Amino acid sequence: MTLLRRLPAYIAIWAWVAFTVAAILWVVMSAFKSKREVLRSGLKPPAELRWENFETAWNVGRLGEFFSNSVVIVCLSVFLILLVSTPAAYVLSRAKFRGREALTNLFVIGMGIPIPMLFIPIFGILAWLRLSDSLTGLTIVFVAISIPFTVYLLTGFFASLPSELEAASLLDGCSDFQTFRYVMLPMAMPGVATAAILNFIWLWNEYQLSLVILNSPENRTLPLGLYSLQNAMQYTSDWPGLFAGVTIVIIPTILVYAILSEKMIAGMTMGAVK
Amino acid sequence: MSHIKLSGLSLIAGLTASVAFAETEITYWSFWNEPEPQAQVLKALMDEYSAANPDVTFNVVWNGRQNQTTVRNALAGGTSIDLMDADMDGLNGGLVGQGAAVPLDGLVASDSPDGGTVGDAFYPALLANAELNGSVGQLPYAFYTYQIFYNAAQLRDAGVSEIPSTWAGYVDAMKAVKDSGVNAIAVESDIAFYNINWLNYLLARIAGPDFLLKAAEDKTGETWRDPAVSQALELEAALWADGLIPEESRGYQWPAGQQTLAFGETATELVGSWLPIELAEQVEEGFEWGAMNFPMVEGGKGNVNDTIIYAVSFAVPEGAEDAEAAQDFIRFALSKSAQQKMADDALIGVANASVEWADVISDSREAVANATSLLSENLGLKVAYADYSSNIYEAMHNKVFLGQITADEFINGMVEQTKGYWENR
Repeated sequence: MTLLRRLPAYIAIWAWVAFTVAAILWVVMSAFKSKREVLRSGLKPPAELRWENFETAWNVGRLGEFFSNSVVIVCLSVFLILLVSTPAAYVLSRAKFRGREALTNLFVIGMGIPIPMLFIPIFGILAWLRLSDSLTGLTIVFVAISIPFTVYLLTGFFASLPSELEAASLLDGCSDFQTFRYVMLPMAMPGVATAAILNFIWLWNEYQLSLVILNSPENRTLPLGLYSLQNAMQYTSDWPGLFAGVTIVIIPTILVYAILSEKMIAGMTMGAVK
Repeated sequence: MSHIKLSGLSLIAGLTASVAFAETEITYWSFWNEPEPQAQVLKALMDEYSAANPDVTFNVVWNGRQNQTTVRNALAGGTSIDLMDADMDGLNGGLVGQGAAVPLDGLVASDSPDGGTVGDAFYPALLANAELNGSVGQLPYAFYTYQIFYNAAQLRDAGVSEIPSTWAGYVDAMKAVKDSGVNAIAVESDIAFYNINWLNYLLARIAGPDFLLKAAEDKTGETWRDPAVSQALELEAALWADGLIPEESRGYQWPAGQQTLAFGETATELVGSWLPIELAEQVEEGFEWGAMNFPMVEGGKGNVNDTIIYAVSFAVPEGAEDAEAAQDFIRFALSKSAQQKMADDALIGVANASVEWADVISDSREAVANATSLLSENLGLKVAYADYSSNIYEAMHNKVFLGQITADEFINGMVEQTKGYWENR
């Protein structure tokens, strides 16, 4: 009976999974096909594996360079975001001081500002700092924009941790920082991993801000490079080259998710069952 | 061997080292995307130029098709750009039309590395199109023609022994193709600027190439009620009614239509001369490309040799720090050897009339060589009234072309919208 009630939900979920997997499979298989084969063979496997499509995307489309830019910017940004947000979230969730709620609400308000509204001020500030069209400038913007969400997310995690452990460590002579570093942070790791994955995925795919800030081809990130590749490939009908580019872009996201998904799910369900 | 190499080097030196420049970096913002073959040729040309002029280097930004918009924003923000390129009509309606480009009349009259002047090397009709208000503010270096591209073998198999030059002959030929079991005409329903060429050509053939601009400039909009418009709409509607354009095409999204040509399911398509290049690796080996001029409508005022083109031009923005060096590079890029490289490697038509084009577009070169005049996109409407051209004319036409509105609704709509356009302008 329970199964029967859940059946529509199962069907919907499995249909969605099948659609997503089929779409990804189609993209990956198309990346190995010839130009003639790609638009007419549907989900049939490629007649032969054409690795040269990846070579085209990597070298001619310069995805290799853009890939390095993305890896450096995104990894550095995620590290800096966590470096700033984790202690901030800990203090905002556990410490008692005047203005704590107002400060927390300020971060929540920060999440509500639409990014396009920030384009002009961000561009103006970066130009003033002489950091427009630079990877450093983009990294700073990525960190600043991601902090409100990350602090909000981690505040929830820290708030759900038992306060007894914190009190015990203080009684044992730990300083506030040691309590945070050696007691609370390890316990919040699923939450930190969740924050890392979510930030990694959105920054890896981020397009709008990068388009506004970056100009020089050598500074492009992978999404900008992919857009440039798409523009170029449509004029030469090199769809397999484009799909190879798409495959290159999605693989890191899938890898990060595959490696860290358990931690992420644990983090998201943490405190859900008492 | 070394003698040949030496001659080659001295030739390059002769072509490029016409002016000596101190340390110069030419900032070039490009209309092409970096992976495109045209960009690769331009890169090679820049390398060649720098080799012959070691003090000149290039700083290139590959912006793609939105280059002019990007350049204008950058210029407004104080960025200095020495050289840029964009489509000719867009430039005439934009930077050049607004006097924001350096006049290139001096460059046109200057000596070419191949002998004669730079202007002498052009197809005269092409250079004439680059002129605006008695001055040349841009120099085209590559271009496409809009023609009816076809699979020559399929036309032959259908018994079409002679390429038709009249509308009646064309319709008969397409009927023969259809009877042979192949779809006659491919279209892409979602690409309004492809489909608009049916009406552009029909109006040009029936009422002459000036008619469209007159209709747009008539502030009452009443010129749209001219019988030429009804006739043109009837002729294109008949292609659908006769099944020459297959019904399923109404739902085609690019590149679905041209794929049917690549796979031998359709014999022809009215499109730019980029088609054989786009489909180069999708057609079967030995595919025979042909391109015919848009046929003449019997009793019309136009000329069957008038051909619509889409050209790409260099321009030097006003205020460029290294305008002189940029112009010297343009001179080099228009030389015969540079243009031949563009034609051979990027398989595109080029401005230098002495250069041979790739085999797959040789019919296009012939059409250009025989053209009485080369017509701008949308018969000049895009240059004069770009917003009217795309938002009103192309948008309305695509609806009538795909059968979403009737011919009468189109005409009444054009009358009203033309009136409204001039009232709000």
